[in-house]
Amino acid sequence: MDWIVSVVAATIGYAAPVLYASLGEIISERAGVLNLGLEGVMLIGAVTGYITAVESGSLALAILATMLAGMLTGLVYAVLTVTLQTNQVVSGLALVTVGTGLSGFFGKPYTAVTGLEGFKNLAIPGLSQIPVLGPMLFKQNVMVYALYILVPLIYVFLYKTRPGLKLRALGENPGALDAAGMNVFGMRYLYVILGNAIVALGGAYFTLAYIPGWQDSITAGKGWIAAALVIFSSWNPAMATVGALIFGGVEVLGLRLQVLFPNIGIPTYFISMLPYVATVLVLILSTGSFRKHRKPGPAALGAFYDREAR
Amino acid sequence: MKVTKKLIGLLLVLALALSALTGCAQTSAPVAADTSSDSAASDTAAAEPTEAAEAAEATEAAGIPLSEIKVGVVLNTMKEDGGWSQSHNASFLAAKEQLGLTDDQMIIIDNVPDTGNDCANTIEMLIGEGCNMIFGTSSGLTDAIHAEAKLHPDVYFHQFEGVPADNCASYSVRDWETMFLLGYAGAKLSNGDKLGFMAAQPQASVVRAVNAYALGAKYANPNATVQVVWANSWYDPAKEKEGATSMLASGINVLGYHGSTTAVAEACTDAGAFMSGFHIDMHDYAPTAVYSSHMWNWTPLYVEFINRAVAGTWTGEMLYMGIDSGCAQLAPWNTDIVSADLIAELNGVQAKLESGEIQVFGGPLSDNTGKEVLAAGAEFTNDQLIGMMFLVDNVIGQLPS
Repeated sequence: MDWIVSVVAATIGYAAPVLYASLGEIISERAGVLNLGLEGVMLIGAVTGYITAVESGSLALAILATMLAGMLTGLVYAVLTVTLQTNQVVSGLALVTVGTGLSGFFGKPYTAVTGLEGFKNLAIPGLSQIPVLGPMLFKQNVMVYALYILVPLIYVFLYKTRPGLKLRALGENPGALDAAGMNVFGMRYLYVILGNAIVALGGAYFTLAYIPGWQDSITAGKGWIAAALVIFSSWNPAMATVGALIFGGVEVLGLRLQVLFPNIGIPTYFISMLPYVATVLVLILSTGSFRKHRKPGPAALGAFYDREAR
Repeated sequence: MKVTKKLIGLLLVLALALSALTGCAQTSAPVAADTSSDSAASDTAAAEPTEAAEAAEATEAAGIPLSEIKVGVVLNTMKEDGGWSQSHNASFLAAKEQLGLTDDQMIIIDNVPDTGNDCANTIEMLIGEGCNMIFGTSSGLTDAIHAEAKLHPDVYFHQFEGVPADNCASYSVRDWETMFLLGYAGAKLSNGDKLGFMAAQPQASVVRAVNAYALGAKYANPNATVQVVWANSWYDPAKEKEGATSMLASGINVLGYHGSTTAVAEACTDAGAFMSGFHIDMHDYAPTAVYSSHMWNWTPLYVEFINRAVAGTWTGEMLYMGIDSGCAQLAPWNTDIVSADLIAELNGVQAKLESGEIQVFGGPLSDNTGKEVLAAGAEFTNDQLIGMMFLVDNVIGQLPS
């Protein structure tokens, strides 16, 4: 039992950065803007957060700087894709390259600088005493607790509020919003910038909470996992949470089983293949004829909005 | 309107391109002229080969005069990667200094992908520049190096852990000697019989390190076992942290390590556990946890190859150097963790390794499924060492079949 509790707790901690990135991307894609640059934005967030924390000694300031850096990448990306109407796939890939390069360049002096305290695991008095669930859920770090609030918040915003309805319409039919007198460009700017701020937090999770410390390409491909998660979550934050937990669970199990059952006979390559098998499986189950109410992505996703072409 | 938008777009793209370039300028300038000696590897280069070089010059008749040596190096990652390529880069610069080569007698090209034609093209370019000695430092470059060696029979090629041929030598470091010592120290520091090992990919060079660590632990404590966890990735800080944490949570308090992140050091610091470092002296990552580190120093190997070319004794053979030549090095023992008595004991074991009294991979050896892999008194061949794919009997864990 203790073992299961520790695996679940580790899974939540491992899934958190991927979930941050997925949530940010859901907001951006719901607004109709595809951003494949998650890996780059995460890295910029990671390095900005770490440098700020080391230099100022304040984690709150580090979080603020991370979000500002994320917003800046969002602004650049919005100028490129919304105003200048560049191809979103190509621009996203460019963002990965730029993010990897810039973070490596500015992070160089901070590489392998250790000793930052970072966000420690914090038991919430009362809640953490609940048997089983307490140690699973409520002995995490602050950045995980923030997700407990952020996921329902985004869910309610998307599906239960008027601005949320407009956000979804933005990705489905921006022309209709325009006709209703709404500022399509302004709203897209807003949500891309907001989305990237959240994605950047996913990167800072590594440098401020999980490791903590900075090294080149510290995210090691988690941005791409997040981009895939968005699709199989059908752009739904609750499903994205489930997906992130499946991903995290499989990765954590792959490592922990080697300790618990070293002679179980499952080759490690097979275990490390599981996340990808799980991805394919969930993709199949969440799309196509397996699902009665098929929800393809936002209709206007990836297409730029051009008033003159209406 | 459209035109101005296009113009702004072009400007932004230009800005992006420029910012990307500034990012590259410092790290991937192709020709190495600087003498960055921040790597620990260059600090302790062997001193004697200079005399050997002078001696060699006297008999230069058969070889290439030292002044006509031109060395071309292909590194597969950036030369400031904080690990593998950085150690090679520093060793080449140290060898250049020791032998008194001029700046234009050595060209180091870094960040050459080991897939596709990049390596072959780079070697062609180096030979075009007049290089008569070519070094490839990653096993991924083997195929390209061998193909090029056939095309240029008059050039001396050197490949890390490759297959020797007429004009292609191969080389490696007996890192298992240092790993044996680290395992020995680990077993003495452990609060139980079980040690851990956080390892990158289940690939031969890593397998050898795990085995040597386990054999060293067994030499210190016959009951010692080593639990290995594979990250199945060469570089994934989050995974390595989780893997290390899972071992530490099971009660293990000493970890061996083969990888290049700071994540395991952080995990050990948090848990108050001990670990050995790899590639570079990891003491600064975790001053309370790292008891010593394996470090690479390729300088004696590179000096030896160049000296052989000068003396005319160069042959295409496999050359190993170990702890006795300083190629496999240990960072200073952390005296906060390792007692003076234990250091004295370790020095005794090291002397036995240097004299050859202890053969790390000496028979009899059996793997952890009970099969005998080496009979008593037998020795591994080079191929068996380079392709080692079994775990010795006191390792807990598995390899992909």
